[in-house]
Amino acid sequence: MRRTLGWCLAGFIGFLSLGEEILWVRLVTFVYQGIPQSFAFVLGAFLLGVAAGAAAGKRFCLKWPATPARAAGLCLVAGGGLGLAIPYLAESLSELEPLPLWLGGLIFLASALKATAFPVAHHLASDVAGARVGRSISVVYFLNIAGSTLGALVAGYVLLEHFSLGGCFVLLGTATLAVGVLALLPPNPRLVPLVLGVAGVVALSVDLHDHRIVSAFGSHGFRKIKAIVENRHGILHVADGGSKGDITYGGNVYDGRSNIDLGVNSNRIDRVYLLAALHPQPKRVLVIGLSTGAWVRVLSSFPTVERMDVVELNPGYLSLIERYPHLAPVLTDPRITIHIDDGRRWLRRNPDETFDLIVMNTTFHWRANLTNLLSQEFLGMARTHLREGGVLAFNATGSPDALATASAVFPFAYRWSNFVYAADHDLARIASDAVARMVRLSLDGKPLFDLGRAADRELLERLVNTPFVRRDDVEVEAGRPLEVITDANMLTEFRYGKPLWWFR
Amino acid sequence: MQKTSAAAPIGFLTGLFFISGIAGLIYQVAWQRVLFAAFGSDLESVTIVVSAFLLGLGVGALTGGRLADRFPDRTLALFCGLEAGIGLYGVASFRLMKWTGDVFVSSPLPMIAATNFLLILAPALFMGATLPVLVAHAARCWGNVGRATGHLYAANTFGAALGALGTAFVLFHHLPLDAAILLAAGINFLVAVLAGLGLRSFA
Repeated sequence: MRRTLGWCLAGFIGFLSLGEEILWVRLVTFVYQGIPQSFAFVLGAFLLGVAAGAAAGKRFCLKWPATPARAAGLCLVAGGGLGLAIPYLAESLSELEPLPLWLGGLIFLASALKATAFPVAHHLASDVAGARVGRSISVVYFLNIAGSTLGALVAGYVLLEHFSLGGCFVLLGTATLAVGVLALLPPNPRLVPLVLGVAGVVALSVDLHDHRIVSAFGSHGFRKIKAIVENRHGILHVADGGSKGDITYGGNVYDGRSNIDLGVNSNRIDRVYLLAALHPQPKRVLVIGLSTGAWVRVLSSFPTVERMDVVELNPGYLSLIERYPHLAPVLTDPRITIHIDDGRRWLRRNPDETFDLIVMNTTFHWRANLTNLLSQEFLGMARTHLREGGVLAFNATGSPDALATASAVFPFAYRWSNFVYAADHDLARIASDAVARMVRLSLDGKPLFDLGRAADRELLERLVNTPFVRRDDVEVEAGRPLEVITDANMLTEFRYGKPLWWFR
Repeated sequence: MQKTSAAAPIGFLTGLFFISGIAGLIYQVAWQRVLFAAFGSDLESVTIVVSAFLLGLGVGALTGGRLADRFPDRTLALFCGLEAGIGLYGVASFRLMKWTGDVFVSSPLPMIAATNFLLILAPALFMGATLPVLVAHAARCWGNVGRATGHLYAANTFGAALGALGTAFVLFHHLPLDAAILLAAGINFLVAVLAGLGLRSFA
């Protein structure tokens, strides 16, 4: 019985600890808008907690060698209570400063309280006197790790797909509480269904789809939240943007607005209209990142486009687009195919696909893994997918090195607004018929511009006459030598990413 | 294989295990990045990397437990060999992962998942084996498995926490990925050499 208790304890605390670690990663990544240090911050705090918990568990085994499970049970009950409380503390927590200290402290405490059971599980299930001490230790360790693997998979794939982040905290907190109570009580198999039944009732009595955490930590200011999508791929929320178009946030970062009107231009949609001036007749288009769908909708107005492939990581955007009648046609337009995939991987796996336009309204350059879309290696790959006369356009989001990297890959690369436009031919010479081409843009059979209207004429003239900025000018602006981003140096995420003081 | 005394100082082993933990997490954070670039950075890739790492640790632990029982007097020699093995894989890992990414990127997704899995599983096996080897040694000395586990696990995990934080907050600001991985391999070799020196001293 003692050995079985040790094995069960090892497996369950592994499951609950790693499951909760996945939730903390989701929470901290959301709070800090996906900066690359988020994962390591959680991992560090979590591991420090594990180390402290293991050291405390060692003391339990020394002090109460016959009944260390009771002390560990108490710690698990406390840990379960803490997990349960997280969604309800979110609002107050978001106002505390310095926030990393509070978040790190909570992660540390939550993991330490669970980790106390690890040495106790070894103490109960290992055979210190026999010749098989190594094997008995390794079985307990293996069960703990098997539980951890399962915990990461269940939390990442199942719980976060079906429940909100707050709901997941409640579920794992309740389960931890139940394991703690079972460790506290005298070993009795009949108690197991009773305790699990009570835990089930507690978990099901609360709203497991409540979005308190998103409301508390969302970076939408005082705007009203109109929609929230939480799934295993991430958290999306939409804030009311009034007549300028609603604002979509992906992972708590501005992702775009629902506007497609060049006159309103609240989302600098002019950067995609400009493509009509840069390519005389684009037929095949690749868009990496669907977001609000506004960019794809504008590209679908180009009369020569025959096929458009759109690659998006999070399918949650599709349900948000459905809410906007002026954007929803991108979901049914027969020329548009949406692939739920990683953009870089999709390109690598489709080496024979070539395009006239490759467009990436990339998110902020300082976010985790953005190197994969800004590096010399990726831009080089994208270049091989361009047809003759093709254009690559992507958002540099203020990174001067992104232009330097494009200049190292393409013979011609310029900045326009915060976008980089690159090609094998000189883009700076905009064709004289550019405005006439733009007049041919139409949606649902209706032309978007009318040169008979002075406002339209002025808009289009301004668009084609705004000059490009060259690499050398950007270097002067930056005040330092520009560097080429590579997969290995991850410049925009770390050295030139968000300064560490921002992590507060 | 040279035999060591069963009473090789636990403080010495604790120190080595702490340093080894630092290297382990530099690898985890850096390898994740290399594999994301090679195979994609969606949830599926994250899950494969994390679960392969954990499963490798688990299977390695089972192997380490058997080794610890079979060679109870050779704790330092086993530890030295395991650390050197991790370091050797570390030296080759950056190129190996990039090469594998190029070769398998067009393969069906289950094949990509299996490749990713194996790339992480191999070194994690070595890492996972180190804990039972050292804990079995400490448990024999102290006669209390809970105390031995708590002590060594805490030291290794504390090192791991420093490794994770140091990699993201310091190392990556100054070193490219490949250099960070080589630094971790250097740490493994340092631990192996110190364990080797200990082997001679405590023999």
